[in-house]
Amino acid sequence: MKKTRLVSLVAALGLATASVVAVAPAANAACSGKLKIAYQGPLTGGEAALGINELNGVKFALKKFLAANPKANVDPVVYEVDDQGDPAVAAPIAPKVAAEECVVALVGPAYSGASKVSLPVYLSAGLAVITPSATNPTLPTFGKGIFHRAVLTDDYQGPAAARLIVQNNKKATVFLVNDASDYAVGLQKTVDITLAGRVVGKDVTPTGTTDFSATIAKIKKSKATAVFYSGYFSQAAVFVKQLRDSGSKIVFASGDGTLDNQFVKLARKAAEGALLTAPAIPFETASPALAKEMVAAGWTPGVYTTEAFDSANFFLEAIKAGNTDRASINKYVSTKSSKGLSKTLKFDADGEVSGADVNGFVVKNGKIVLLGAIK
Amino acid sequence: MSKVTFNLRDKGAQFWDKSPRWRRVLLSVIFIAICYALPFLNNPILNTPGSDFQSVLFYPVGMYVMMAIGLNIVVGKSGLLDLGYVAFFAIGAYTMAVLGTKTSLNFWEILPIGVGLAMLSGVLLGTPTLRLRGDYLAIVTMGFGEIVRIVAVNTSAIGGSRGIAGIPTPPPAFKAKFTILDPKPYYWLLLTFTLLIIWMVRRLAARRPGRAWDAIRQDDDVAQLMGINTRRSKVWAFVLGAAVAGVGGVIYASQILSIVPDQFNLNVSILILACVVFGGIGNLWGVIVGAVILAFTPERIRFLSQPRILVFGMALVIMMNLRPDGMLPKKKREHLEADWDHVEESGEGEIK
Amino acid sequence: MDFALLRDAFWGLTFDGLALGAIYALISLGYTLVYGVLRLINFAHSEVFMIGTFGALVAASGIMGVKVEDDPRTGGSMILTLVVCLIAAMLASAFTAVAVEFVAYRRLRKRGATKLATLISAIGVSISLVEFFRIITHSLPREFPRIMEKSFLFHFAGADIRNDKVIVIVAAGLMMVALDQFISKSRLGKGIRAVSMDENTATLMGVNINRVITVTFFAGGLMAGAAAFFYILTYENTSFKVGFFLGISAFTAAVLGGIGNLRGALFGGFVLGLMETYTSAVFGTAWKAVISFIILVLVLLIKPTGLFGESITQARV
Repeated sequence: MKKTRLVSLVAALGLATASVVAVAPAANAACSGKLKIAYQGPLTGGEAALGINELNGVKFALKKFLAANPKANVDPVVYEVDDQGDPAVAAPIAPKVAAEECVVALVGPAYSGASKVSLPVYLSAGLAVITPSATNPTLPTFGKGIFHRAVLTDDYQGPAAARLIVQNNKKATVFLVNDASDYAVGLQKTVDITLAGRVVGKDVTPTGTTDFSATIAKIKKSKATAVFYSGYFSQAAVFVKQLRDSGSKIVFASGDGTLDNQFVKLARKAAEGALLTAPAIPFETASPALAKEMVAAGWTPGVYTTEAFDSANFFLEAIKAGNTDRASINKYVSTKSSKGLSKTLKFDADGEVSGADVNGFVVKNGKIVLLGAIK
Repeated sequence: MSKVTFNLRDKGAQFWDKSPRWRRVLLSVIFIAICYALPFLNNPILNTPGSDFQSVLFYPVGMYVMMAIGLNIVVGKSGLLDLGYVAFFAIGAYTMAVLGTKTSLNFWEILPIGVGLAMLSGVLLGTPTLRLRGDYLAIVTMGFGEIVRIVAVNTSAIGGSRGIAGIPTPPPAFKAKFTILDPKPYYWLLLTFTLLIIWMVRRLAARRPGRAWDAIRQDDDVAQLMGINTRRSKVWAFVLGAAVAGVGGVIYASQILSIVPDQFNLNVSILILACVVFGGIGNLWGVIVGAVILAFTPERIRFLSQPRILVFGMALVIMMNLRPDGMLPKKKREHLEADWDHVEESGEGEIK
Repeated sequence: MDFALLRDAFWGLTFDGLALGAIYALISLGYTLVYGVLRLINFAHSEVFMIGTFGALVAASGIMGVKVEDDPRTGGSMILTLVVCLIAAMLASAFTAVAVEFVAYRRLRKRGATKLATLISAIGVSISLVEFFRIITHSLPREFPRIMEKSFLFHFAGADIRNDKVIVIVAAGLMMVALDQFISKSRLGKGIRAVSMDENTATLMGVNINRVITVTFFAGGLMAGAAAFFYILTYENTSFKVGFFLGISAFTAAVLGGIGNLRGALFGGFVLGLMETYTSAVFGTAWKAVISFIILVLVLLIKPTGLFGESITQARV
């Protein structure tokens, strides 16, 4: 008992002496070491696949940049910010990232919910962000000035997807399915508005749905000629497989959440003929050589890897041009443009990318083939 | 066994019981002062690399502590297994979000409404279901938690899966301004409410309702035989637990300023339950310690990157194996101990 | 609400619902067995199922050399591949279940810990297993090669009866009959029943409790493994998350039927499969979990211990 008390006393004293009153870090204090590029998105937990795709893109961009510019004062390790795609997790991390004075640019956040919580913090810290995948149209209001988006919002993609379906079949009638995620609901809404009278039915299959029997029965009864699935590749693959196994041969169409070679890999033959749209290009299609190099380096490209790669490159170009602090890097990406793999990044006053095309793709012989820009 | 192990809880309780009034007041004041000063602590051992310490104090640490205290009323005090506790938190948060964005009511006006709605849903859920026992109650409450989330996802009037953004902050109080950039005032607000709740719970535990819960937890049928209205006591425990989560939800929404339904998933309920059991079910201080540790650990080990949650899971298993009664277990009454062991082994234990 | 769809496609939906229900029923047997003996919800059982799907996957590519781009097999080679994958899935799950018991339950049980402590310990194991598989699969779903061509056997009142789903329903039925026989006839099965009736008396009568518990977990694991194989055969994909989604449904099924009751779990599984399919058709897939839970609550309010009552022993009557 005596001994325990002594030990705890010493421990308490130790803790007390180690504690000093925190000094609030001055905003935008200069960085004394190497500059850091951060990536924020889900890296653990259920949503991690998407975040890891993007992180790989950033890592690869950084590796290529340092190989070309070995003297650049940039940390070769990406500053990883794992928000698990959850606003609750993002909230305590964002201030830490903002206080890390060597973090001069951030690719992400990947998800809109986490963005809404993080952006005000980054805005106050003057930290420029380019998100590769958060498509909620309201995001500029949370971080106007530092917020940029390398992906088109649903307002662009949805109508283009609708046009692609109609171009494919002038008499198309469409059944809409979404996975209840923020992204999927937003995308489906714009598709729905453009297709108007052609929509013959809808169903919502929340993430985690494994059996689509009822949805497929509905599709069959609606006599639709096409189904538009709004959601991510893994569930899209399960869905299209069950659709084909049920004997249905109607057109399957989907958006950029499905534009991933994993979709073809998982759905195999069922993916054949699937129409995909995206304001982007899959990494392998954009540059087979780079994709090969990336795989050799140990990182597999997937959905949104291209956007993340482009975003990171834009920041690195800014650094190469001699900008070493947050304010000048933000000014650079806000005003200049960058020729990316997916599109030319040139942001308007809201931070939205302008002048980009929405591309159509078709799955043919197990490959995602570019059809070209959708008129 | 129990003679060998150093039981911090019992020693602490002995010290407290033997202390004269002045020492109790002094210790309480010091403890509370330290709690309020925590945001200014800058300690390399306690600091959280990768996340902001002051923010971590508010969420998850402070919020988990508050919710664990609330859930402890339900699970620890009255022995009802609730796996859908997050629902009441969500109801509080959504009340703040909807009323804050659609009406001109401010935080202080919405708070009682949020708590009221959480309590009302506690009554609505509790009245029909609390006659179910143990594990049946667990799945019904789990279902309720999921239903609240799914309804929020599928109701476009409250934002659907996009959630609600632009929730107003509370008006300034005592010169402290509430902004998303400064978590300190929110932490102090949360701490103040937590202390109030602790005070309330301690008063209740020592009085009639607390003794009724004790009796119900030990034996439902005997309690009823002794003239306790077990149904009403259970609903009360449920509703009080819901109220605490409702307070948490309202404060949380006013800090994070935008919420999405997927934040309020089953994992939160399970984690809060883990806090309660990990700390020492039924013992207020144990529950607080458990919540602090479980909320803090994942943030403290953030540098581990990928295996972080795996390590967390394994730590949970190891700790439960080493200390099955939790970090600071509830004090057992000596003369009852023998009987208790028997009851637990035969599966007719505290929580059925 | 679309009652017309339910009317028009009733038999098709019923058939699909039964196939899904068969998988739920097999998983829920594991919950029920463990509950019957230990009076505990085995929260790690969903991961026992998840590991079974990976067991089948590894067996298909590792032992049988099936490649994802291969054409479906035929004849003897197909049957052999299916059987090997089934056995691999069952063993993977069964040994996982036994390991879970050893790590999460045994020590706590010996120390007479509360049920909640054990619950949290099991949740810890569940979290660890999910995260471990997430890390080794790089968070990506995995595809299962098509071993058997899916074809329609016949059409019945507008329903397309597909071969793989028939196999699932029939094989699941056989598994359950086998388990039922094991529990009622074999020595170990009698031990399980004895322990579920009264642990202390069973010990006095010379039943080796540890062994009975190990066998219980093993049997539950075998059933979950079979479910995992049928799941991966029908849906041809898996991921680290798969246990979470199916686990909740299977657990619901077990409670619906009366947890601790084998026939209840069986019945509950099929009822839940049908209910989910019907409510998806009528109210939309988004609401199926809500409707299922509401029905569960209604059932429990009328029969507080589920449709068939609680104990394994009662099921024997």
